Amino acid sequence: MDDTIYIKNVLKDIWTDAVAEENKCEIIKFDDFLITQSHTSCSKFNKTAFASDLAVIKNNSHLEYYTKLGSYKNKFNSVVALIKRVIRKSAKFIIYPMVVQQNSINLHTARCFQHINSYLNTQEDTSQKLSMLERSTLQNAQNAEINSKQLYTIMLELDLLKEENRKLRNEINRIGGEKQNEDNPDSTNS
Amino acid sequence: MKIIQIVPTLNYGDAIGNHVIAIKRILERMGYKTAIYCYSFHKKITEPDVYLIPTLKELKPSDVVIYHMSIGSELNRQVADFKCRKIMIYHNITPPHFFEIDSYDKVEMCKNGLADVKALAGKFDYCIADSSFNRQDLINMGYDGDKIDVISIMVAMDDYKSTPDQSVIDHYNDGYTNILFVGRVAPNKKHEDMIRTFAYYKKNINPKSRLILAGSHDDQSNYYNYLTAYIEKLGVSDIEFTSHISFAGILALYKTADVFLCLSEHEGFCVPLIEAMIFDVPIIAYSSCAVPETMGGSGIVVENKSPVFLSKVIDAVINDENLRKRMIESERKRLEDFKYAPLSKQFEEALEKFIANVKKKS
Repeated sequence: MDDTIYIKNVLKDIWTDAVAEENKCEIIKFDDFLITQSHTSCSKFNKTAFASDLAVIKNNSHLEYYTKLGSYKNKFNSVVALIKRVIRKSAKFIIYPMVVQQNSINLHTARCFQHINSYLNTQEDTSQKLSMLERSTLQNAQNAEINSKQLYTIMLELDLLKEENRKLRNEINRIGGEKQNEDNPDSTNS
Repeated sequence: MKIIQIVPTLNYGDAIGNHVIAIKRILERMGYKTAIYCYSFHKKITEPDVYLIPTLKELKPSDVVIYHMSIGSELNRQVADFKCRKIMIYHNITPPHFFEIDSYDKVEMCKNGLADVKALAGKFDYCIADSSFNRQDLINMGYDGDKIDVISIMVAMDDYKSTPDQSVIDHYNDGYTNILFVGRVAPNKKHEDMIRTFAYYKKNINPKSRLILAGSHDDQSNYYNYLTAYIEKLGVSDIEFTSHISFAGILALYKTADVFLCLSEHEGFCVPLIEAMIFDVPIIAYSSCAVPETMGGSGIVVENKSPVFLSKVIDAVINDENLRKRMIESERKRLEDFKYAPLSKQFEEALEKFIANVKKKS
């Protein structure tokens, strides 16, 4: 039989089997799983990337108020002077106040991120301390468990020794009694 | 006259990067003066005559530019304005909607890429598509079908004869059934469907099995983190993301794979299918885009993604010796169509015809 036909027949049989068992599949679909994730971003916090973004914000938070205009040909002097004057006036009354306002926003944004950074560092310290405390508590608990297990074993051994001791005492008493009988046979007979 | 290739980024070891280098060698063999220009290239690339775009000098009207189109880039439209003869090799662009779950940047990049392809209809003198699917894609975007030929991506099969990483082979040769997929972690590849199928397979059919998802991923990407959370939710073990792995490592993965599973929903060609064929790994692939064309009737192409059905198919492929043998046989036959020599000849002929028919720009 041709390979393709053979493979198709095998697939047909498997499909018939699978349809019968389809309702057995209880594995959640990825799309349904995503709905449970509330469509929130799943990317993890990256401290290095955060620190690098913060550095960029801090370094670029201050915009320069004045940018020097470039060179020009001497023959256009009068035209250029007029244009420069227009630019200077616009800059003074329109652009300059905007830049001041933007600088203020930038400054506060940078400071705000700096606060978040400090907060994260504090959280990290606390988290490290907590995890150390957790480890030491766990170690103590493990030690206590080991001690209690050892104590239990000792108690068991003690019980065994007590039992052994009791048996030995009985044996000694029995042997003692027999010896006494051998020494004074009359006493027994009478 | 010189013939240069331009690609936004020349990656090391990926399908397009290897294809660009294969074409460069064909051009050199044909006696043309050639070079590759890109915005950036991987530090491991040792191929000579690879330059950065800013070093590209003015082209003459008789020169030929071969542009590899695969992503949104400012180069797309710049190249179209070059005053020389131009060929586009279209590798396809992933539809943006796939990336909505992952990143808005990627959505924008794909949107821009598709907009560029549409805007450039008629600006290139000739197009080569990796597959008939890609050719149809171009026609749908307003390109002239008579000026598009289909020439498959060239896979350097001799490279796959090199020594695989023994430590990887030892690691995976442990009596477990290895189900393999190779490809970067991207939403169009549908890793979630493979995970769901594997969860059913492992629980109900073969507990001694593992799913190896080989390919680069970004730890910070939403999609990757959703996948890891999904795996956690399903409580399934033995799913391994290998991240970027050496070429010897990839060879070792193919060597130890029992089955190659591909449930991708968008592929312009899908080179890993050819790689699996090289290593006689039986392939189970979902029928979408260019996948059935690349498979060419070999292996198993399924129309349904039911985990129950797919798990049973995997089980049959692993345990039915006759089925496995027939699949491998069909894949070996298909592999003949991707041999370097006929593809290289096809490319040479297409290029010679282009040079003879398309006169230099005035």
